[in-house]
Amino acid sequence: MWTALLLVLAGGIGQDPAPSDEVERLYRAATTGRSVVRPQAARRLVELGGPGEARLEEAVVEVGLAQLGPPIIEALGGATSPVLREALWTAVREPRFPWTPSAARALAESPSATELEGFLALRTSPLGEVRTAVVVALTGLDHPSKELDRFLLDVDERVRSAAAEALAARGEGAGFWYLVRELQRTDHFFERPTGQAARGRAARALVRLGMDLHGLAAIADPGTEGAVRARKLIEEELVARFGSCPEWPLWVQPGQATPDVVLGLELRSCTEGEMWLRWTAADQLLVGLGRPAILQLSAGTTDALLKALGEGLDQVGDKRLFGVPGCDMEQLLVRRGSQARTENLLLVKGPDPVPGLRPEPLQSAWAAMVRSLPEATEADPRLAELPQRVARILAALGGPVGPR
Amino acid sequence: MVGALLGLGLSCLLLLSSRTPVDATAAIQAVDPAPVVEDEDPIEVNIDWLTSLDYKRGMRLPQELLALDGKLVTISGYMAIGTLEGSEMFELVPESCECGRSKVQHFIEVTLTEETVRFQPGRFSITGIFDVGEVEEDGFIVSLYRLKAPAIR
Repeated sequence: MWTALLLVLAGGIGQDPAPSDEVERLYRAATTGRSVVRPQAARRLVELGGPGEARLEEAVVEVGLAQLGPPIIEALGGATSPVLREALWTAVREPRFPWTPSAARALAESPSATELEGFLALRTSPLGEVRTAVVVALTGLDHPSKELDRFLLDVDERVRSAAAEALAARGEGAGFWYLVRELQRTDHFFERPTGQAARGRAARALVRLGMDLHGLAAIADPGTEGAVRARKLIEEELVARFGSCPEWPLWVQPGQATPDVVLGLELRSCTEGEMWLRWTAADQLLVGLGRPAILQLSAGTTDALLKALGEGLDQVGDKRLFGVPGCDMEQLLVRRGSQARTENLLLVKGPDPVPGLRPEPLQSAWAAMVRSLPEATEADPRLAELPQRVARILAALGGPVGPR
Repeated sequence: MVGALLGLGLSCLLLLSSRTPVDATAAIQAVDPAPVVEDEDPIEVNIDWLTSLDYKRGMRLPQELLALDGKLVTISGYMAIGTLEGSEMFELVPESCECGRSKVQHFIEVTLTEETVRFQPGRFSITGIFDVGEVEEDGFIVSLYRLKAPAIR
């Protein structure tokens, strides 16, 4: 029997590589298949080892990494080919590469000590998803906790959550405290229950870390007696274990119910970053998600913006989706008149500029929104060069808005 | 030589029988779910909870997820950008922008039975019969969550 087993193993060493038609089948599925199939096909192609990676190396040379798309780019995290690894590093360093978060996540999947400086250089990326990947990479490289701690002050909650979970896994109190504070969140971005989603994520992370949540149903209302009691017990355990909660600046605080918003912009650029802006009926400007920075604008600002928008939207008509899906999105959210219902208008595109994507009738309203953004002097990093950053992101999305 | 071949065959059988069987809980399912159960309030299901599942092919799905199979549920979310108008199906996703997220647990495949799809950009709720389990096509898992609903109200 053992002889037969040895024969099987010996036969395996001289086995033919995966048939080339299987390689091509997976490559086609990974590049042109249904979107749900592409990540699976991409992973399987990489898992083929030599033949799969050779095909991908060819493809990188033939069409470039950007054309291969996020599913393949992310799957390259499992590849051993130095050529493919170098292609990922070239991509993340290229400011106009459209899928930088995917490339960063791939690199972070299997970081090596020789790449430390490369990851550290990505700490200042304008893209929150890239900085999140940096946290993952540094965690994988066993980077000192006092360095990971700094990511708890990032303006992006995805970065902070990744850092919190990494720190908590190392037994650091700050990580646990951050996640436990997330259980209080009640914020929304218009109808999207951002606070509820955060509570769910934090609860799952805490359970993975072995914490007893005392029956807390994280996605249910955090204001119920049961929820308050459970959180009190959890916090008492943290105090006993780690001392009191660190003091954090506003943007790290748990989000609360937000004032009565009537107008918003959700901006997601694959090269210039992201921005969430809201204007309230009381002429306040909210910047960011979770616990936003709140600035008081001059009286009548919001009404003037709504009037300009109303005129623009009337001219645009009923159409509410412009462009072709890609890596970029510009979304207007507005509640007009006495209606509580939000109207949405979406501009979507790939990484390249699309002239005329933002309908001309809307340009003056957009310009007015940018003009309403103050040059803030607060220390909140979300407000640094706010009008300039927003103008830059808008230019990368629907196109330039016009002079301030 | 014959002995070696017989040994080879026996070894193969031994190797195959020692593999850990794939859990049948997440096995391939038929697509058509059970009909609507009348006089039942829909269960509110959180889309972020569904779509943040740490899913691996063939895994045993959590019991609280399996308990929703065949139930009348209400889920709130967004229609995936790129939805084809006039079709019967669309993907329900947790955010307007699902940029770069296309794994099988990141969406609910919705089939409408009384109307065709008209893209709407905002958040909405939809009630229907929920179906959970892997559906496979050509060796790939093409959906994990499905909802059959008469219409978007």
